[in-house]
Amino acid sequence: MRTLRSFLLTFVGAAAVVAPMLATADSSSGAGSASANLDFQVVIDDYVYFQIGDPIPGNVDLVTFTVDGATEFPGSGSPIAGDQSMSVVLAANSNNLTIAAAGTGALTGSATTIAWSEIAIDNTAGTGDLPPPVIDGAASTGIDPSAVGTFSDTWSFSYLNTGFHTPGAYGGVTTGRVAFTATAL
Amino acid sequence: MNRLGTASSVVLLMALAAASVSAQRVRLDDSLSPTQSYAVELSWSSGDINRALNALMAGASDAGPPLTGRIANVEVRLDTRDFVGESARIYLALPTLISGLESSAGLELRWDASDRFLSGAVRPGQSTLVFDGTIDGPVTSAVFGFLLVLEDPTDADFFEVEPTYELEVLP
Amino acid sequence: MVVNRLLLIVFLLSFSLRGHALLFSVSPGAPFVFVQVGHGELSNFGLFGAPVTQVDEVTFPVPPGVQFGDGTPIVGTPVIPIAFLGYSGGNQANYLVTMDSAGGLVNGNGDVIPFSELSWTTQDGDIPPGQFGNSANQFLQQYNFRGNRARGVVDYLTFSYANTATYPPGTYLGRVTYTITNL
Repeated sequence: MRTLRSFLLTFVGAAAVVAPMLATADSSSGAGSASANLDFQVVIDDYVYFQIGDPIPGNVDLVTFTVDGATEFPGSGSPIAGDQSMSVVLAANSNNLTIAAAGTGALTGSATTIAWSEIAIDNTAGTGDLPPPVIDGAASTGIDPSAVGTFSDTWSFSYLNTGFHTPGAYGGVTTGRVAFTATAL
Repeated sequence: MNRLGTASSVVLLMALAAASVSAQRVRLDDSLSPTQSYAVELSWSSGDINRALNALMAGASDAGPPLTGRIANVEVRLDTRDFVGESARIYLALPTLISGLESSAGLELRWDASDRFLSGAVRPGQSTLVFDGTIDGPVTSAVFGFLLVLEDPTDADFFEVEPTYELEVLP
Repeated sequence: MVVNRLLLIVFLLSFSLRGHALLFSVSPGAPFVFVQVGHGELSNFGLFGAPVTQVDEVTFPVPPGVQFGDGTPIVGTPVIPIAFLGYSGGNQANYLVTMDSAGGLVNGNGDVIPFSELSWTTQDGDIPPGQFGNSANQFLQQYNFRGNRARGVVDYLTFSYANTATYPPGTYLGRVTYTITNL
C-alpha cells in the first residue's frame, strides 16, 4: 500500500513535468447515490499505409519479363507474365482511396525504349480488394469507399509484347522503376 | 409538621451539613429547561470525509472518522433554589452506560456555553466542570451548543444520551 | 441512627421529586455515499480537496514507432485516483459502484469508438482491473461490511487504449460516469 508521503512526492513530480493541475476533480456526495465523471480523449490522425512486395521500407522488388522465343515470339502480341507477383497492402482510416502508378520515363535498352503501356497489372489472382492502376495512366478506382481498414491483394504483371525490340535488357533499377502512391481523397 | 415539611427542612439541614463536612454532589433538576428532548442525527462533515480519504491513501484498512451531530441552542435551566448565595461548582456528567450503545468508549459530548458557564467535553462515566462561582438566583441558566462525537461507530442504531448536572457547594 | 434514617428518606424523596431531564435521542444518520474521480487540490483539506465539479481528462499520446490499428496498446495519462465512501445506518455498510460507458467516444463527424477499446489496471487492487463494457450500469464493485457503519476504498487507475481496430481520423471525446449507490 502506498504511503501518504510517497504519493505526495509522485504527485508533485508529475505536476512539475505537466502543467500544474489545479482543482481538476469531480466528486459528489448524496443520500442514496452519488456520481462523478471522467473524460477521455483519443486523437486519431489521418494515415495511409501502403506496401507493395517487401514490407521493409527502401527494399524495392524487381519484376522480370523474359522474352526468349521459347514460349512466345517477340512482338507476337501474346502477353508474357512477370516472374513474380506482388502482395499489396493498403491500410488507411479514410474513405475514397486511390492508387496511382508513375513510371520513370520509359524502359530503356541499348538502342530503343519500351513504353510503360506495354506493362499491365491485374489482380485476378488476388482478393480483388485493390484494383490496380494503369502505369502512367488512370489511377485505380473501386476501393470500397465505405470500408475503413486494411486491404490486401495480389498484383500480377504482364508484358504485352506488342512491339518488336532488339535483344537486350530494358528497364531495370534506373529506367524501370514505378512509383505507386496511395492517396486518401 | 407534615412529612413533606420534615423532609424539606431535613434537606436544608443535610445540605448545610454536607457543606461543612465534605464536598458532596447533588444532582440538579433541569426540568425547567424549555426543551427537554432533542433528536440528533450523526453524520460526517466534509472535513471528516477528507480525513477519511487521506487515511485510506496512507494505507488505513478502512475509513472511519468519527460521526458527529450538532445540537445547538440548548437552553438549560437548573433549579438552584437551595443554593442561592452559595459558592459552588456545577459539573456536567454522563452515565457510564449509554442506553442503546454496546460500547460507549468512543462517545464524547463537547460543548461551548454562554455567560459564566465553561466550555468542555465529557465521556461516559465522567463529569466535567462547567460552572465555578456564586449561585446568585434560584434558577441558574445558560445556552449550550453541543457536539456529540462517536468514534469507531459500533453496532447500535439508536441510542440516548442523558447529560446530568451536579452541584457541589464549596466550603 | 435517626439522622441516618431521615437522610435515607430525604435521599429517596429527592429522587421522586426530580423532573424529566435533558435527553438527546441519537439516530445513526441518513445513509451517505461519496465518490471522487480525479485529482483534487493540494489544499488544507489534504490531497483530496474540497469537492469540485471540474472533470479530469485522460489522453492517449501515441509513442514513436506505434501505428494506429497495429495492436500496440497506448497507455493513457494521467493516472487517475478514485475514491468511494459509503456509510449506511445500521450495522452494515453496503454500497454498489457502477459505471456508465454507453456513450462511447465520438468525433466531430459522429464516428464512434466504443469504450470497450479502453481498459484499466489498478495500483493497489482495492478496485478490480477491467475493461469498459459499453453499458449504462456496468458492475465495478460491491462492498458489504458488518460491524462498522462506513467503508471506503481508494485506488489509482491507469487506462489503456487497445489500438487494434481502425477508426476514421478525428478527436474522439467521451465521458464515463461512476456512480456509488447505498444499498
